[in-house]
Amino acid sequence: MTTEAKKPVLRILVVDDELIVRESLGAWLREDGHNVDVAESARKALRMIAQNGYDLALIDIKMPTMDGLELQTRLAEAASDLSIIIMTAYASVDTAVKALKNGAYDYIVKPFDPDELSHLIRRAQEHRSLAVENVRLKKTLEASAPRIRIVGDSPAMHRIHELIASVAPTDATVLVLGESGTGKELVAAAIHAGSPRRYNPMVIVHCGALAEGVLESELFGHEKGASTGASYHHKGKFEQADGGTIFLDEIGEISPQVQVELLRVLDEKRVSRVGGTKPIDVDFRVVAATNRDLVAMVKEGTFREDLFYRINVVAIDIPPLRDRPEDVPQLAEHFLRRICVSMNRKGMSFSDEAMEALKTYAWPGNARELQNAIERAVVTGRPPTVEKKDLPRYVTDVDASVGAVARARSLKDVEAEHIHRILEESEWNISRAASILEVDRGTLYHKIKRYGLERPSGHDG
Amino acid sequence: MTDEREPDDLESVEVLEVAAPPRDLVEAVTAALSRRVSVPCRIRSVPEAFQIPHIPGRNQADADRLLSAVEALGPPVGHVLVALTAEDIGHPIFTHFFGRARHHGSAAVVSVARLDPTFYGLPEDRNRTVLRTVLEIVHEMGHLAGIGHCDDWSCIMRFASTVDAIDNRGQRFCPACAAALPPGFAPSHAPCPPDPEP
Repeated sequence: MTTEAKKPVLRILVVDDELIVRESLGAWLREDGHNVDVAESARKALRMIAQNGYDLALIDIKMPTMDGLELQTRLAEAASDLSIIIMTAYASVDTAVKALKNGAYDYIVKPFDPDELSHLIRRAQEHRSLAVENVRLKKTLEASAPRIRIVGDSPAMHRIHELIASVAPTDATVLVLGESGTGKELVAAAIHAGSPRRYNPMVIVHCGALAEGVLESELFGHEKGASTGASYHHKGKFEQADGGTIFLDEIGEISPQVQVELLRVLDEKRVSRVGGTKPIDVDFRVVAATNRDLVAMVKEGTFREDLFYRINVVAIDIPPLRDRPEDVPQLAEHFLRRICVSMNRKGMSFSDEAMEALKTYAWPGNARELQNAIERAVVTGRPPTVEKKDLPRYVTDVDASVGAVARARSLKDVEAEHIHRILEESEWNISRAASILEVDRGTLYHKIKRYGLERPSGHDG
Repeated sequence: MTDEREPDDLESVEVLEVAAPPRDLVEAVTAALSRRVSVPCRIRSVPEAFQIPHIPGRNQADADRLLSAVEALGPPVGHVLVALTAEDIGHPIFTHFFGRARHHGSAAVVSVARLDPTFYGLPEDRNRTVLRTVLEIVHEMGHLAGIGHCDDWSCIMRFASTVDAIDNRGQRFCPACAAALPPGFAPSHAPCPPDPEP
């Protein structure tokens, strides 16, 4: 042969109980330059495929002992990357449909039109090249995909790692519970990254940050002209999350009216845009999070019981940092490394006194507060060591810290204390405080109002 | 496959009339073929006892069994036998062929049936039929020289299972395939289409 190197050579197995088919088809395919083996039974084919591996199998549908369809089913498990063409003596649509549904690449009716067979082999060849390329690209993507690392070696965090690993690959709805700053969004991201949906978007909705009318439009989208200013149609967050995950943060903040709509969407997996009439099918997975006590809210009647049960399929409760102090050093080192990279500072470490102070403090603002304290220490301190004096005063003033926690008897009190302290530190600059607290301005205003925090007189601007 | 032949031993081509293709067509094909190869081409009659094997239930000759029967006539080394038949040829597992030959074989079978435009309900076109038949014979002789199918559209060794494909592929060997030809196959510069019949 002369120019056959131009086209890829396939490893083909012909499976047929008729000698003439095996011999003739084998010879015909070899003439075309392919490497061809033949098997007279399904059992022999299974053995040969296990031993040799093939690109393509041409399988007769009607064989004694085990027919082509059963062989195809077994091969779907044993050799999922094998392309299969089913050969049949009868143009039976039912059989052909069954074969295709079972995953066969195509089928061909005997006697074969040489042109049709030639095209089929060529298409199978192209299909296989694409499939191989697809697997290669997925592996590359997998290797380059950022890993979501949740730091913490405490028994509580081990349980959370295990729970994430087991729930992520499923499509189960997850409710992430925990105080502000414990890393609920990180847990949601880890669930998304560990799921088959990871190549599709994870859309984040901060429910507490949006006013009722806006939230509805944000979640479900709106049609052009649905309201004043709706000059274009707008895809809602659920539509944006099609194929991926929607993370409903601060779900405890949504109004009763939106709760009803949300429940309907979660049940039906269909959304209707505001001002629209046609429901749209959407495929999404829900991860919700809150720092509120939803059970209490259900009892109070401020959160719908049916919605609570709908989202509380798997609950992941992240303990506050004060309940797992053994995680503080590891978290602190992790934040220091990350901050040093972002600030282009090399090889910084904590002095023993600084680390001791970090371990002693109660961290009412959890990991987020720890991160902010370290960031501030890196900015204000002098490399290569973060000293105790570089840390915020409230961290190093153990008495103040203990006192603050001692005074704060409930979770609400701790949060109120912490927000108040950050506001004071940032001289009541709302944007700066919201940035430190890593919440949006709307949420911060909401909490200031809820806790009745007041700006001391004498502050300007 | 019969005897293995060296690529330099082609001495003649004999066109065997099987199942009575029109005599004038056989003559026109043989004349055109002789201009395509550099060895003598002759017409040879089929022995009286020669039987054409058929495929049960189909109005077709069995191409592979017919090829074996022609090979059994034992063309001497250096001589190629091309059976030209008016019958449609097929195979128990293939619907049809235009021609059949084994790599390094001594004989080939070519059917005129599907090369004739009238098979497809089109008006008769003798020149086209002769041209297609000659090209198909040359393609099968390429297999006899041990050349497989070629991916090059401009090459006569490209696989074709429709007359459109035969009409559209090249009429000569591409340089790579030509290099594998024995001297008797040396590409000629015969006019295409062949000279009109007298």
